Amino acid sequence: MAGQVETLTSASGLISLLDEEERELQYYGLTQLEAVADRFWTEISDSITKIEVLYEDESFEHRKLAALVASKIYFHLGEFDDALNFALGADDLFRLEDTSAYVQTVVNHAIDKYIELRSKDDGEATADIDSRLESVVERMVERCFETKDYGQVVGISIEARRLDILERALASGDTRSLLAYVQRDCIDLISSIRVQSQVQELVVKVLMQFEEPDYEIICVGLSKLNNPATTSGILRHLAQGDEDKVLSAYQIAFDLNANATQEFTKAVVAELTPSEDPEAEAIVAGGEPVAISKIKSILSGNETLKLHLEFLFRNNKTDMLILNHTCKLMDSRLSLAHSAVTFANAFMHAGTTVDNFLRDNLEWLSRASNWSKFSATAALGVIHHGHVNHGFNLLQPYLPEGLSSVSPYSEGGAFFALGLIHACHGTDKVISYLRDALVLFSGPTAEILQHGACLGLGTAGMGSGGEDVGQALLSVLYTDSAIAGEAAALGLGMVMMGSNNEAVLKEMLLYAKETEHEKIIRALAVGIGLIVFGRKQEADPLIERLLDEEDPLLRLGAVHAITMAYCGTGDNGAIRKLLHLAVSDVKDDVRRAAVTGLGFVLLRSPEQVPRMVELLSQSFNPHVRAGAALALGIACAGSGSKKAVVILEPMLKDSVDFVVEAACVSLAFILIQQNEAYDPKVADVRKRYSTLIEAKHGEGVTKFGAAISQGIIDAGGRNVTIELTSGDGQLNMAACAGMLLFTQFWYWFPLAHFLALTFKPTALIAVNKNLRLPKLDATCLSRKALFAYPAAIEQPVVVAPTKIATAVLSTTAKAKRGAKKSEDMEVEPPAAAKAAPAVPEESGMDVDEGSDAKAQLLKKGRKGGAESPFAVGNMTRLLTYQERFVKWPAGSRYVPVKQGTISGVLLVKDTTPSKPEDLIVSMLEDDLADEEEMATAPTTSSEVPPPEPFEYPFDNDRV
Amino acid sequence: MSSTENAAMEVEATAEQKQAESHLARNVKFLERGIAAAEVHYTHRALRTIFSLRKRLQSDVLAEMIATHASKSNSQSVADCLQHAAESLGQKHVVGPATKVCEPEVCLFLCLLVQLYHLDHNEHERGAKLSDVLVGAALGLQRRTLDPIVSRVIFYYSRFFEVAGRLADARPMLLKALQTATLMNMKETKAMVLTLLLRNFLNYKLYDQAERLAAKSSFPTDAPNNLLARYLYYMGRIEAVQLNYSQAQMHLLEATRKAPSTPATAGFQQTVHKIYVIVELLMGNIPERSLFRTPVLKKPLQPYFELAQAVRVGDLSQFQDVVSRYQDQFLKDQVLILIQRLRHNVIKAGIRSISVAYSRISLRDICLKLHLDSEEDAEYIVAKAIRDGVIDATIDHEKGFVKSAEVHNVYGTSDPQHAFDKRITFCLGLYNESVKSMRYPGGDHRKELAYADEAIKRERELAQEIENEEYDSDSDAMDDAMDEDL
Repeated sequence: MAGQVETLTSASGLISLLDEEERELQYYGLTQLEAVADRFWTEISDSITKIEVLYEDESFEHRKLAALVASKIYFHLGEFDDALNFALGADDLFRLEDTSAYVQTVVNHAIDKYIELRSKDDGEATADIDSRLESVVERMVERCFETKDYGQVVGISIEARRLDILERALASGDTRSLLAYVQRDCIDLISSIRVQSQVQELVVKVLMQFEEPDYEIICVGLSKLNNPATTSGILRHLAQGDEDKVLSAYQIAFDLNANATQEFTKAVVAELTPSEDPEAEAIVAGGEPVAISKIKSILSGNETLKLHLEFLFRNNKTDMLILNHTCKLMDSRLSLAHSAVTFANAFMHAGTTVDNFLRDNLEWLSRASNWSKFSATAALGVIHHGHVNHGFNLLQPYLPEGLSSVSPYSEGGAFFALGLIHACHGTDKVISYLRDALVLFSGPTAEILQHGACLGLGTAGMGSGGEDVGQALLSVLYTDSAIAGEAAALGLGMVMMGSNNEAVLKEMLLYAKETEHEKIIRALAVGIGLIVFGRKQEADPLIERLLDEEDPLLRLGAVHAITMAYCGTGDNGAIRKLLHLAVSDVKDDVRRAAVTGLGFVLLRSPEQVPRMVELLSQSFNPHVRAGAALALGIACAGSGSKKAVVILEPMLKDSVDFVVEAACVSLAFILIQQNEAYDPKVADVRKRYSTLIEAKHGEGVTKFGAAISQGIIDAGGRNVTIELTSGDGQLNMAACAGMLLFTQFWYWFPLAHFLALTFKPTALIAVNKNLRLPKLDATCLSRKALFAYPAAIEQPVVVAPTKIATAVLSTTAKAKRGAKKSEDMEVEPPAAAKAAPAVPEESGMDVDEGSDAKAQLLKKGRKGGAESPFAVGNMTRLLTYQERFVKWPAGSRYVPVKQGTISGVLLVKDTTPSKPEDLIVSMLEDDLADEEEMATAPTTSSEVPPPEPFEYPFDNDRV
Repeated sequence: MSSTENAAMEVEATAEQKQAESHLARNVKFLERGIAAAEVHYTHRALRTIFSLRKRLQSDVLAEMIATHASKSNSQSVADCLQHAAESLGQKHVVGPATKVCEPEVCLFLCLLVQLYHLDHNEHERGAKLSDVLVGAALGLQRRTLDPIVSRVIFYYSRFFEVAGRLADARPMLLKALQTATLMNMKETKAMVLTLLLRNFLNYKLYDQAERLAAKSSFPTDAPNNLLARYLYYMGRIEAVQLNYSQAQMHLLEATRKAPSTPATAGFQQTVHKIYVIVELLMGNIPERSLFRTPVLKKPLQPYFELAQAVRVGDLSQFQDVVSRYQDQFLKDQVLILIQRLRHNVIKAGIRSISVAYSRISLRDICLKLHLDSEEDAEYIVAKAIRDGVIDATIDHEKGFVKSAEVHNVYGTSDPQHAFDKRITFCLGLYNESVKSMRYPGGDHRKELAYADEAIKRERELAQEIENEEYDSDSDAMDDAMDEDL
């Protein structure tokens, strides 16, 4: 018979069998057709109705076979839906284990269909899904289980929202690696928050079932689920364990502090506080409160802040020459230029507590007037960012005394500064102080003070969701004062960030339509965006409503809402909406914001952004160009992306001033912390900044951009990077808010200070069980020059050149040699060993020669000591792109508790606890007291005197 | 031949061989670049030179090349292909020391050359065996960048079967290839397989099957012109046989236009025009005289010219005479069946010219003019012509005459408008297509600006290369196929 089939040239004979009366003949015809379907599908497809009729004939015994034949024909015709339907009708005749293209295609289609159906009704009503379809998918899943193809099962089950299957897959496979896969790659891709949290819950549940649960991952999961009770339980349990467990508890606390919301960590701290429970009392009495209190202190953020402060102060490498040079060139009488230098200084010294520049330039400082004075005072907050213990003391001179306001601008600025110092770590004291300040003052100057207080309150209470704070801010908003109202709207957004608080949103929307102040509406637009941060689909109704508004400022709100709600998701729908707005909206502001928003949405996949905005960056509309520049800067911040730089570089020569400004800032974002050895472009860009500033007839805005860019690229004493996500890819809420608010400097300069929230110190920080810093080294397997600090710029030489030329000519060679030697000696020992911050090397010798020698040294490093590994000490700079080269040396005394990552604060275990520890001595004054308690600590007093309080030389404002 | 001459020959041979070798190496580089950039254009460039290589290649060069690319690190199917290719070249193949993984593209490219080598040296048995392995492997690989190479491999696969005269045996594999190509969205392969299948069916006169296949599958819109021309030709033939003349005419006309008009494609042009002339005649049109004067077509189209003359005059006896005189030729061109249908057309043409000339004519006169047997016959034929819309007239049965209706003014109707609309749509379509086929490599223009001179030079080189090699080479392949048709 096979031979007979082979020689067939037409299937018409077989098809005519279907017309027979006899069931037997029909059956025979079908079996034959099934065999030749692949060859004669073109012929059979003309008679497909006959086959369908046979299938629908309930009395026909072999109707399943008819279905199979029909399914095959439809497959060949490319009608996969019909093919699937008939394949389902064929039931068990449709053999899943076949590897033919037919079966594979139909099964793929079945799975797609199933996923589509499941995700449409959001998992509620599964009744209307064909049970046969479900069984095909389940049979397929069973086969995957048999072949141990768990990765696929996980993917299908998450997409199809079948948590039962997911659980089974996790249980039967290599659970740990699968869980890591789910955690890392899957959860963030789920667009429905509800399903996302369900999956997260499941993951945590499975994790808890281990004998040796990985509490770190569990706690990250719990923080996403917002479950402080369980978290605190775990922490308490760990704190009672042996030393290893205590250490890992500390580590978890550090990670939570870095990643979780303020609301969550506060709740955990509250849960940890001993309750009336007698058992808990017993434990406390049992002598374990040390660990618990340490955990609490870590969770509250004090420890991390202290460590970061210490690191930034210790390693401050700000090149004062740049700043002084810029300061000299910028006309300080213009408030624009004055603010520019203020911001540049603030960014350069962010978090370092070094306010020398202000001390040295008192005269310059005194020229600040009105709002530039506000910015100047607020800059103190950026510089002392994280100095929580001394915040009040530092600002005491500027804060208003009692009810009388003498100098409203500096006092308002001081409120804001207070907020910045306590950013995201608002203690009750600060919050209540600022809240009181909202209502305390009256009179014509009150709104300035309120402005500062609102911003401060928002910054300090970021994401805390406090109802009472919210009420206080709302009441300020309702005073309908443009200045105070603007800040109140922003503050409200920050405090309620990510809460999607319906009531507050409603109030804000209503008020936005009521008020006549554009400033307030614009601020409300930003505030609304912040409130729906990360809510994805939940924000859609709001977005749709705002998109239809006639008022461009409200459409701006829609843009901010899309930007924030889908921040970092890369969601296609959001991108489509933004791109549409970017090219079709009538208002320039909306278009610019929409393009900028792309940067936020694509945060996690920055490599896509250059391609996407390349065309937009060549738009005829300067606003779109500026937006494109910012989008690149935001998405590629700190990455040094070459593609982005290629697009941005020509924009530095744009004919429109604010495009140049945006390009400057974005380049600074991207090239922050990069040096010439890593990317030669850096030198060009830096030079470009200074030429822009030096240009005699340059536009003010361009100069402003170049000046703050100088600040950004060297931010935090060259020790911080800009990062909107944490090490393991989670969004850093405060940083995202900071970046969005920074982009608002377009309308209101003081908001530029918010960039400080995005700064993240890049350091190797390892602490031991007492949360002290032991001296230790990690090895970096790469060239040192790639990660070195950029060389200090040359001092503009004012000395007459002839004088030196005649005098030194004969001995130049010798002098050079000498200079080189001294350079070598200074650079050779690992920076870790040096306790003192580097003294500007130029001080001792001829400047020209010094830099010359340095250039040679750089060259030498490039050629000779190429791949030689070098040591990275504790509390020294460790760049983000350097992390992958860093290894812990085998057999060293300290071993990290957490494997894998090196970012953030690490806890290390001492393998030889008996030996005395060699600790790094703190250089901040407030640690001295603790220092004395430590018997083992060397009691050398700090080498650098603590900064003394100084006063701004503001004379009294008369407004 | 003296020994010095011999030596000189050898030296020359090796020089040429060296050149071929370097050529080959360059092509491999193109392929690799194509893979890296996921761009098929590089692959096309490599394939473009294949026909100049084909003439120069020698088996040992090929074998050596294959040996350098074979290594253990290759995937199984690739290794198998190379193994077979080497064996078919008569080399006992040993796995080479090469450490680099051979990309499937490069492997298939080399094997394609081996296929050609076999074809050129009449080693059909070996070639068929190798092709079998290659197609199997190619369909299993499922890579988009393989598309152009696979399409050519399949072409030669079918070719070997055709040479062996057992084309029907290739059909199952071709159908499978069609399925795979459709699912994988491999456009070029799909176009090629469809064309081959149509050819396959037509070879056995399975017009019905061929028509069904064409109706049930869609020819990829952006297939290369060479394939499109061939496909259109086959479609024209099928439709002509299926009585769908206007469609057939359209397709054949397009086929002549899509095929490059270089001397190298003369064979194709001739074949298409033969059938085109007949379809035109069948539709009642008389082809332009200038067509028969075209140098390339003049000689082969002579019988058709005479046929057209007979039809034009409507002289049935002359027609019969031409048909009997050139019967063998027509049989060879596979158009006899169509020509036999022409008899009616000759009569119809006669009737039409009569109806134009006379407003009223008796059936008897028609009978005489057309050399028909009886008056009754004439009445039936005229009635049929009226029904078919060939003429607009009425028959007066009582008095035995035919009365033509008034001719109405075409320009009073919307016909010219439709005609214009058709032409405009065609032009716009052409414009859009050419816009779509233009390519602007993203961001490259900046670099190009810097090296403008170099770019222009490169452009020129490329243009020259295309001019020299593509048309005559690809049409070479086409001619191969066409010659079989004749």
